[in-house]
Amino acid sequence: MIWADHAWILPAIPAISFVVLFLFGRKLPRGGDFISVGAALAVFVLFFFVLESHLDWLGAGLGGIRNVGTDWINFDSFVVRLGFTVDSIAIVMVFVVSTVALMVNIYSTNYLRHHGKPEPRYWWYFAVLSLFVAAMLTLVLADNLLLMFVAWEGVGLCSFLLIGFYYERRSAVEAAKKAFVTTRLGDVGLFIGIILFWRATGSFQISDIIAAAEAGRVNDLPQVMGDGYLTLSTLMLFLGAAGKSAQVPFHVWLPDAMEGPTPVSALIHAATMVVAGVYLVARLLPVFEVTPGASNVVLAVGLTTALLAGIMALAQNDIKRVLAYSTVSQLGFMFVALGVGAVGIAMFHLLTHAFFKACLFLGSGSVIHMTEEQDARKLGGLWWRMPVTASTFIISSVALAGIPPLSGFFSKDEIFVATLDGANTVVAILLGVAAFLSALYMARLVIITFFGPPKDIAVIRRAREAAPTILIPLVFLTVLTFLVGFVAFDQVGDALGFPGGINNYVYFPEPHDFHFYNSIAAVTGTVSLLGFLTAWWFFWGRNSRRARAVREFQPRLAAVVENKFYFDEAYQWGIDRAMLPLARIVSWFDRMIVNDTGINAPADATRYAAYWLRYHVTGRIPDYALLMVVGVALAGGLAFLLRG
Amino acid sequence: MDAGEALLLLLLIPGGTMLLTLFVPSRHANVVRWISLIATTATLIDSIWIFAVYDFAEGGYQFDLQYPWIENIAFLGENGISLHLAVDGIAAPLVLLNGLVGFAGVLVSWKITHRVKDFFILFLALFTGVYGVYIGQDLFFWFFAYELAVLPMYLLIVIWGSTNKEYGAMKLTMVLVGGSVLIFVGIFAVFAEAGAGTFDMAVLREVNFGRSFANTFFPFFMIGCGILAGLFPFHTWSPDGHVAAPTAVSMLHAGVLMKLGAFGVIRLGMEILPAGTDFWMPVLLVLGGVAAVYGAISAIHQTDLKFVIGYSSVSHMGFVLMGLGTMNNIGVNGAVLQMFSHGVMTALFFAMVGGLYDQAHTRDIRVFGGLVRKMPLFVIFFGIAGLTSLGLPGLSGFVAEFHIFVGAIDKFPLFAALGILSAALTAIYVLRLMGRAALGPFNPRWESLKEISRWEIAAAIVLIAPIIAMGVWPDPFIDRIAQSVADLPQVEQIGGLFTLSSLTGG
Repeated sequence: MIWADHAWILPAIPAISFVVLFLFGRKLPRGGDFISVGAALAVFVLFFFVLESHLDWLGAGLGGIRNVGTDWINFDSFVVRLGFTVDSIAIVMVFVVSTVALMVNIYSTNYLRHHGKPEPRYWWYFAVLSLFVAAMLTLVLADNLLLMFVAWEGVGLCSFLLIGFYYERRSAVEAAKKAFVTTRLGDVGLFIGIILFWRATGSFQISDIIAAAEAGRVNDLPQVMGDGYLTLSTLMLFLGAAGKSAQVPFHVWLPDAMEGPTPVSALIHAATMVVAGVYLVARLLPVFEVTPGASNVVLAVGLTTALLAGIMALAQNDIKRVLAYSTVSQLGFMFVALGVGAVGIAMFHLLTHAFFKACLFLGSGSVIHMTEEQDARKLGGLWWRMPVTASTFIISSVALAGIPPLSGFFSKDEIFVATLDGANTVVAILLGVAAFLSALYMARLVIITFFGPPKDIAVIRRAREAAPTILIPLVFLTVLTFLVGFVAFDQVGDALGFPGGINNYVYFPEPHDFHFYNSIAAVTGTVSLLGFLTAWWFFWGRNSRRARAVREFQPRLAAVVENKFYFDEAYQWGIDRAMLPLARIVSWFDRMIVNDTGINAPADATRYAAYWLRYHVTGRIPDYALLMVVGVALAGGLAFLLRG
Repeated sequence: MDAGEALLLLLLIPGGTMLLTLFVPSRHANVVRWISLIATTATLIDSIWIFAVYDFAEGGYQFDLQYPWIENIAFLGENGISLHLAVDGIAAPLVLLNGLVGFAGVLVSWKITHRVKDFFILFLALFTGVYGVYIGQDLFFWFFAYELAVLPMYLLIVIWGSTNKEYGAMKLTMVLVGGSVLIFVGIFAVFAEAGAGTFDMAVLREVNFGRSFANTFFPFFMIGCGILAGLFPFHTWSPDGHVAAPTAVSMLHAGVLMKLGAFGVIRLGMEILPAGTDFWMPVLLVLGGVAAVYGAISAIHQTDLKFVIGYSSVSHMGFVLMGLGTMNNIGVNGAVLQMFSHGVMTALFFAMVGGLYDQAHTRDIRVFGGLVRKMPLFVIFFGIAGLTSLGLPGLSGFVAEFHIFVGAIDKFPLFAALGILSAALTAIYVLRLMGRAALGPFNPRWESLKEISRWEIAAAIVLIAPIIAMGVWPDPFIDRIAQSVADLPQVEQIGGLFTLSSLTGG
């Protein structure tokens, strides 16, 4: 059995788990959590079989892509396939999804309990978690855009359900709604893009679309648009990607999504679902490359997001929100890599980011679970109460900041190399600023959470190291954070059976060799260290007076940053002042003009006419006789006129 | 396939039951209920059988059955007026839809206690009329059935309705009868122009009506039937009617009655007067597109649950009209899929709202909150209907809307984009409704609410099954519809415009 030919089994397993949990979860012992964990474990193990058979093909020179599937909708020449593809990009993603999903499943069995007692709807949580894993794997393995879209909406639904898991809280419901609607607006673009590509190529198959775009056939349509067609379609797709991956200006939903349980944030809003946009662009990168200007749009959006989100993260006090803005910023880095055409490097950063960010979220979850507090200003001095959590959190932060030899350093360094190769120095410098910011905000978060004097005595009393089921995923992810950066090296890749490092495995159209320039590495490393030093200078212990001084020096600027550049306010204004009034006006129009004037007025006119006419029904013979005479005279006159 | 008696049964079972019920003393309410349930179960089984046995490989009209009634008298010739029944691939899913919604409607009407016998008699009359429209092949009986489906609505709303019911019922009846007048004129115009002395649609379909005649009389059918499908700007009867109507009537009304309108556009307009489609179908597409966006925006502002769903129906029926207006196989196919999908979905919506209203006696979404704590099943079922309406893949709405958008983008890209946008607007009002009423902090005022009754749960399951079936495996529907849609005159066949082989030149 060639596993990669049966990759559909991977999403099928958690899907079955979902069905079982949905129907019987409530009655099963432990809410059936073992089924969900078991499904995740099975996926994790099977991934290696799939990987092995994929590497076998590559070794045998059979090409890296394999499509299998069956038709889902089929009439005449209109076919939608239920097809799965295994190629190197998908392999990277499946590795991320299966690993983080397993860790989060294990972690959740403890996190969703308070003092050993499961929270209400424990079974529902695991059911939706399984559904999410199934949908995410489908998204990753889909060989056509429509199936991808189906799964894309599926993960959006799971995200909605899990953000709104604590639905008794108004804020959680609002956040869930915001996440769904915001991404859904991006999806409008995605769906239009998919249909536009279908119109031009007659296919939903990703491979067909790429072939058509490269052959220049998408712009060949004799009908409308001409040259703009390809640009329009590609940018529409990108709209969807930007919505899902929380790029400016769609980023507003992600920080609010932190209302969900923390493991969900780790899985969905850090490692897997939010990178779906990156994955989509990576998948279709050949199309973006041949579209004039599309790569620059991707680059510009990514860079803007990396910078803005980095700044926003500086002024946040909720641990999870800092991490959320950090995720947004790092997703921006990935889009920058895609913008310069370095798909392997984007996937590499996706890989490393998934592990250290998942670890950070799970670590923050450990803090929140034990202290029941997530405002970093009330934490502090936790490191000696929670040594394992603190050390894994610190290591992951260092990795995120990009200090060698942790994984984040390698992936960020490569993004710089690719940017310098493919774009210009200005972009690289701005990206350097973003990298500096990421070191700064992570160091700030670590300092105010784990160091310094405890700020709240009740919190520090509650703080104890968490249970093994929470710590094992933390340690496992930290180990991965250490190791996964080295897959950049050809020797490491060779030793693992890959055709060299990650750039020789994931590439388009030509493999890039891994270039490790000492000078660039020195610069990026220094930038990160500088970020750490700056954080120390501003936030360590008594130094925080300097941070306060800065804020007092420029209160307006500080307010702008603390209010996240007023994006949320702008949206709220748009909703309150544009959308709801529009709805009110349309409703008013419908009631007053269409109904009361268009429908009721003729009815009322009839009624008044009847009211008036009935006074002529007098019951007196002479009146009737008079009317008859008038009528006959009129009819006669009319007949005379018509005939004459 | 020549088992036309199966079609006759669709009329005889509910019609006969209606007559039988007349003789049941009205104090035996339960007898009436059970008789109606048995009758609708039998018709449901019959409908499923017809849907399953319909031979889609062969296509065309099947189960043909014709009994002449009046012929060779005065202006009537051969088969002047006859009872002619048949289904094609477009009617087959709708027959199934009517079976499902009627069955579910009886289940949710179980709790009606006021004048039970009268209610079920009228309900069955309506139900029979709808079947008559779907399977009728003779304009005379078609029109009779059409009126039979519309008129009992007045009594059903006025006697068992709520909230401004006299106004809603009167408006509904008058507007729909206004549409009927147009259809009536159109039917006689077609009859006279054809000069075949017959109302048999099979004969009339073969007649080649001139372009100017068709252009003149196509709107009689398009607007006359379109009114019933919530055609903008003649749609306001629908939300008001929904709000006033009792639960089961809302279900039939939005679930199957509005489909009669769109179905009439196909049967009378597209089939009999194909020459008129060139000019008029783009108009229908534009009006449908406007209704789709307009209904969705209006729904955002509503606070009454039934108004939200009523405007949502206007929006979704807008998709149907848009799909018909594309005049290509994919779009029309999508329109028929949407008729089915919207039918079961909106019936589910109304069944659930009824379950809530009967306990809470209000439908104002602002006063609810956290209902999931008291009524988890209600929220799950309502949520499934909501997700269907916002076009979540895996449920039937997506399959249908997807076909409509794909069909529309070929010639009307802007309207396809508008349609997709209004599907996103749907997400806003559905989630707003769910967030306000079902989730959030629990409002202690509703401490006394209980889970919906088992009759309603049964109805919901009957309706959810096809939603999921069509969402996951739409082929059985598409197989049947596609063949008949391809047979429609003037419908353009599109598929892939380019194939990969044409790209590589091989």
